[in-house]
Amino acid sequence: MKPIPQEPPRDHMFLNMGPSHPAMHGIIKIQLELDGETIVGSQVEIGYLHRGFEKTCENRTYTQVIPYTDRLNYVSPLINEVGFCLAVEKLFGLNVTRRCQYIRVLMSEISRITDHLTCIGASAMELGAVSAFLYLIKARETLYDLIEEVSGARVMPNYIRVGGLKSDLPEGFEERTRLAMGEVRSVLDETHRLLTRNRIFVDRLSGLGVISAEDAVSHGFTGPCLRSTGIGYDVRQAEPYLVYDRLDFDVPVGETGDNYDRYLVRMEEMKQSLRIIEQCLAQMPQGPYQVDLDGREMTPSEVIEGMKAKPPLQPIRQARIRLSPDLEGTEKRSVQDVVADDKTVVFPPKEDTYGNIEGLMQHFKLVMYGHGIRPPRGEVYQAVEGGNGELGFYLVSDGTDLPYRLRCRGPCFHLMSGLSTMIEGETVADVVPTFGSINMIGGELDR
Amino acid sequence: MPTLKINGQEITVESGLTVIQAADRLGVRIPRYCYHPGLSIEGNCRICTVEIEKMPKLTTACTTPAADGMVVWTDSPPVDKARKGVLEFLLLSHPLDCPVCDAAGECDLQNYYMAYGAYQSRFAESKLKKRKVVDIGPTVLLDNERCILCTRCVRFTNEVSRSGELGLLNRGVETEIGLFPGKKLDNLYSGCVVDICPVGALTDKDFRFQVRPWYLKSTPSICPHCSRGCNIVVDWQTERPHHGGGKRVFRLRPRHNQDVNRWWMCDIGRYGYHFVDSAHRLREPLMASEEEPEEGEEVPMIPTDWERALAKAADLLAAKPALVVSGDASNEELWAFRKLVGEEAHALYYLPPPEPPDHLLFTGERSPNRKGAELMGYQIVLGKGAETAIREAAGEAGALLVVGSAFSDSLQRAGSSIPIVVITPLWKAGRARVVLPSAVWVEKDGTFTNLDGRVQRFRKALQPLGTARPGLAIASSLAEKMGRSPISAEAGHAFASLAAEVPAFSGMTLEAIGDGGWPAKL
Repeated sequence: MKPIPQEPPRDHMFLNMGPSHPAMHGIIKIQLELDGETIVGSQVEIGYLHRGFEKTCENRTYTQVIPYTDRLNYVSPLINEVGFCLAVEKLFGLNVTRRCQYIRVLMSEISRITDHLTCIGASAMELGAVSAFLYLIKARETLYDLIEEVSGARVMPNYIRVGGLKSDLPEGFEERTRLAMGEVRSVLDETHRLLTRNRIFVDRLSGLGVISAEDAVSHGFTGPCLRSTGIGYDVRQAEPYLVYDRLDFDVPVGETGDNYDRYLVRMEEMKQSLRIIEQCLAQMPQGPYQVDLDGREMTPSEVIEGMKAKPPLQPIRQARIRLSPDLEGTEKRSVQDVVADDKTVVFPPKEDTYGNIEGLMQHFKLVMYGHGIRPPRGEVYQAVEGGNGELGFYLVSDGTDLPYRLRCRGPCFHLMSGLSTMIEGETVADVVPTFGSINMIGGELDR
Repeated sequence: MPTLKINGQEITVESGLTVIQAADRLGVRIPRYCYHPGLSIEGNCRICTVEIEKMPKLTTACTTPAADGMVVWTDSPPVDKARKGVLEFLLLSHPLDCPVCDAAGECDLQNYYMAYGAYQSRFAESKLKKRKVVDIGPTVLLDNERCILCTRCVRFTNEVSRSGELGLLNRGVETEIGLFPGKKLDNLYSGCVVDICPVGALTDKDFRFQVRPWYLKSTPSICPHCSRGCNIVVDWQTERPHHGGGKRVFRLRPRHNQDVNRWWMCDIGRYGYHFVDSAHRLREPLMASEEEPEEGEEVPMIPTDWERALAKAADLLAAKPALVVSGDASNEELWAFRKLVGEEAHALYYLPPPEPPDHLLFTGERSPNRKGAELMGYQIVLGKGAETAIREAAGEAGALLVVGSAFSDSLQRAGSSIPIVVITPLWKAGRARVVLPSAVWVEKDGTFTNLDGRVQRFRKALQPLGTARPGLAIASSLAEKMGRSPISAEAGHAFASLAAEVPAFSGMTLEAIGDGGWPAKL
């Protein structure tokens, strides 16, 4: 990256692109040094969305940090939550249940698809392909519906918890996921038809924004931007976490490292994510359900009737329930299968909190300031494959209920450092697709 | 001198100690409810069970004397199981009160359940109902459902306060703590039963529902209400002004100091903090109006800024002042004001008339620093004799500097004709030319010297109210304005200068005094 001189040389012009430019998301300023319409140098200015994420988290309890991680890469928030919770669990040396691991992978892959859909949709729209954008965002909406069903919120789910999940999957989730996957698949096919061989689209992407594999590595690129250069590094395969080592998926790589390769890599990754989701649904151990004395599955109303018997029948009391109409998957018999068995980390099921003194005390001990979740002293680094690449959390615990230090390695920061290299020698109009293919997310970049 | 092994660590203790005391010396924490180092040993709660090799069963650590060659294990699997069992029994009839219980956050049932219990509840029956919110005295409420019958409070009233109001009533599961007929828990140490209650059965009326304890911050301090100088902790919070009606200090608790107050403090000190946030606290300097008042009316006092007030005060004090100090002036302030008025000037220390002392802590001498004033060369004046002494001093002086809140009518009368400068945290009315608001003891750093000559440090917990300043800072500004030798406004520096000059304090520093205190050379 060439530094920009104070005064433009003869015949050169300075041009500020952003922050008030629609393609710059309002939070990036690129100072361009132009020779005619060709970029000869540039300076990228970031930090407009800095809000002190790390310092804030160092003054919040571990549980309170989770909603803040949603605000990093806010188009794939569940991956951020998974990354942070895995880091805390690593401090504890805690293993979550198999079902929980599958659900976390499943939600991560749904998030990855929403991330890529947004990226491709937005950058296509910036090139004028508004219909493609609308189709892709419509597909994203069906996935947001799934996330909302599970967590209660579309964009800021706060669903993954240290030691487990907020709740189990709702009833009928698998079926609806399959429907949504079909919809996403058809939108992807349509997008391929609309864009992949579209002359205008290809001309605006192909051979532009090129970065060599060497440069990409030296800038710390990860994720689709690195893989477009031909390097097949993916945290899910390089350092498998959760159950990724049990799942069969390919890591697509590009050849030239240009905008078009990044587009193709993302399109293919979404297909691979759909494959992963399918495998998760097939392999995931089933949650518990309620059976009567003969082993017959019971409806919730039958269970309630059985409980009313005086004295309540012991086998029914201990039986498992599949659904309750009010607790949304957080009831004891259901949530137990998706949280770790450690009362010093995991919140008690709501029946216990409101129903017996032990649960109530456990709940209090976990929420009171100065009590809370207390990982042992130590430091860990845990990376997950985010939508844009390696998302890492470095955590230092001093044994109290607040992280002593939290450092977040967001992939966008490193990608943005390569932007100057990628746009040099191109025209001003090419900044838009190149910047779009990086998929800069302000929340994660500026933290 | 038996030598025993606890969790593999060897320790030699004097004979007569029990296993739990030996473990405490080693820093091995054994959970306890009924055991308290300041009370007799009863061994009824059973949570402190430990495994001692060659003993047929688990034993309570609090009642078993440490013996030579003992091998003790405090967290082996059988001990773990026993503790879980004890906790499960203790919690059988415990109400679901954490959300409304003052002790939540400081409750050993909560703490030990997470640390040692963590079992799944099996209780499906109905809980036993007992009396709740029982008014047992002017300061304390009793909740029998929360009580685990450790009898710490009963032993306290029998052994420490020696008032014997509490006892165990009824039998079996219906046993409960209660008052003896015709009695109320009304003694000078009643607040201590709340401190020693390991659960939320005894709650303090003064603290009840004011704030959740986990919002509180704690600062080690010294009680300013008598010359004993009990070591205390100030619990305060300022981040949530909607709690406690804007109070900043929420309670005082005793801090263990074996040489002074052990684990206790009296109710005079415990509930004597309300003046800190009182409406009578002076928030800005006052100056007497220059205009002549109407016949028979008092000179109106007008709020002013520090710059003018200090200038006026320095102006008045230039004329050979006499000094009267009272209240919670620290050693450093006593020394600084003495410096300010000059060695040759009259320096008096006013002490309220003494009250009768009691058998435990209260000395009857309502001033935290009488001894310090003595060591600093002040003339101690008390009670009725004070007026004469002050008049005598004022007679020879050109101005009177009054430091502290005890600016009673008699003091005013005594210094009738000369200009008076007052430095005080509390002000209602009176005759003075300048009144400067000063910080109270929780708002400043410093030391007190207790009646035995023990120099004890208290720390700043809060910012002074309004524009008030610590006495030391005021002395420092006045010294500068009056052209006297500089006085440091920082307690550590001032104490160092003091220690260099006053022989009784020689060799001391604030750091070395620490939180335990240091006896002065008397």
